[in-house]
Amino acid sequence: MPDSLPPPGWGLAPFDERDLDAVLSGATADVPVALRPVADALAALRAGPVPAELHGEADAMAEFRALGLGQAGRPAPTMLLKAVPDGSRARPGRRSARHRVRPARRDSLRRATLRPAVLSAVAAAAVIVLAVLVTGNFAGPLRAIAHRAGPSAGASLSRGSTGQPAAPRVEASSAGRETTAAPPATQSTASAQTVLSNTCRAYYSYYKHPEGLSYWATQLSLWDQLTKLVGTDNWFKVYRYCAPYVKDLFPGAPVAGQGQARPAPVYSGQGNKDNGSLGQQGGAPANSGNGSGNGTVSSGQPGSGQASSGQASSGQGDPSGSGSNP
Amino acid sequence: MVGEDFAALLAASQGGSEQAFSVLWRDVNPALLRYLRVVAAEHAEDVAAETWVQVVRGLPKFTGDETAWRAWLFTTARRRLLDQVRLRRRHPSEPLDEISPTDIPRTAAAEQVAMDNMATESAMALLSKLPEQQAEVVFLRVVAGLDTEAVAEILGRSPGAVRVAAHRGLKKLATLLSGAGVTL
Repeated sequence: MPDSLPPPGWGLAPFDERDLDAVLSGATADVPVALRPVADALAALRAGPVPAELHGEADAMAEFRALGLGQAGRPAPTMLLKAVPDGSRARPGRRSARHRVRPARRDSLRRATLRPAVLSAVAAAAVIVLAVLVTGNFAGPLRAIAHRAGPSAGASLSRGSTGQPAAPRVEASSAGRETTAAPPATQSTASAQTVLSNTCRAYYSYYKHPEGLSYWATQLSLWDQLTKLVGTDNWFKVYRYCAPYVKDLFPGAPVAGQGQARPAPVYSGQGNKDNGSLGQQGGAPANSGNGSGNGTVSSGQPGSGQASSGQASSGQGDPSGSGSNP
Repeated sequence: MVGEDFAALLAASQGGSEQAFSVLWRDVNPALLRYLRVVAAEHAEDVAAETWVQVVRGLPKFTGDETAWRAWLFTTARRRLLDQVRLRRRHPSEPLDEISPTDIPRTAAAEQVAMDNMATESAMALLSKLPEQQAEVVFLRVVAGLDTEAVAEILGRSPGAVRVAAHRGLKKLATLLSGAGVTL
């Protein structure tokens, strides 16, 4: 016989975990007496809504409609779609509101952003071109860029076929084929030069007398013609080729290659690369590496395989000048 | 709980039916408000409104059954509640002057509403006396109708811990009810 009675809490518990799980699940049958008040309290928590708990429905519905989800509940949402132009017709359904508004806003933003940017870019390009034409040169780091723009030209000047400082070379065609000799001038050559001259003058006249942005389409067309005639789309090379023809348009501007080693632009020439002689150069301006004048070399040394480097003439080159061919 | 019609109601809501969405809202919002009033009484209305905004935005992409729907909704509510609590901590605000009970507008049905609400309010007040985690677990299990796994996912705890917390909460409730002689 025990010495003392067990404490009041000892013994079998009035409920176990299964009873607790049952109460949590909402079961009310067979609930132990000890848990019945708890079950009643939980049942009160599950009770139906009171009016105060439904006050926010209007706000939720407003959000539902605002996000474009409430289209189907409206009386005639599809009738509005017929009034929308085909180009901007919204897709039916819940997302139509978004697609109706946002693309237009994006387009307007894009237009508003791009228009000043395009105008600024065009203006900046025009200023740069004018500055180049007036000064004839770049300053600072742009000078290096200008030199890099014509590496083949520099190479053709720096070395002749014998490794000597070069005489003007002939770039025979648009493919950049180099020749050291050329046949006598032909009528087609003169015709090509005339075309080139006219195109150059037409193109660069714009910079002398700008006629507004509307003229840019013509400018672009002329530029295309020039690049085809010259055989390169490098702006500096094109300008060097055109310099003899447009020098009267920009009297203050030096002829290309002044005081620097630059190649002699030649517009024709179908010489024999192996005969080591310079053929016709078309009278294009050239300048030797250390020439001090602003003149041009009108011809190379016939048959010598070397150019008259360092002997720049002081006169103005004649674009139609001809060299001799042995 | 909506029951078998839930899938159809959800599809209709996602298709833009306001009536279907209203049914879903009326089914869940009372439970949501009660949960929030126990967890954070002063922010309950604001958090519930933010929760529904979030739910409506995500409604077109939601997939799942009714349990998943409720779990998603209460998870969203809990996150919004935590955001609200953090916000109030960073930007504490002074409440306006308290409105005296005599200034509260009364309606003809106010007394009846109060009577209807009394049992629920008493039960909520009783649950508010539980430790926070136990009260949250009991509410999510009982009011939200979620199972142990779903509650564990919402609270970021293990199912075993959730089960233990629920049992302890019920035992605590039983003790409170028996000791205080509370009748509902």
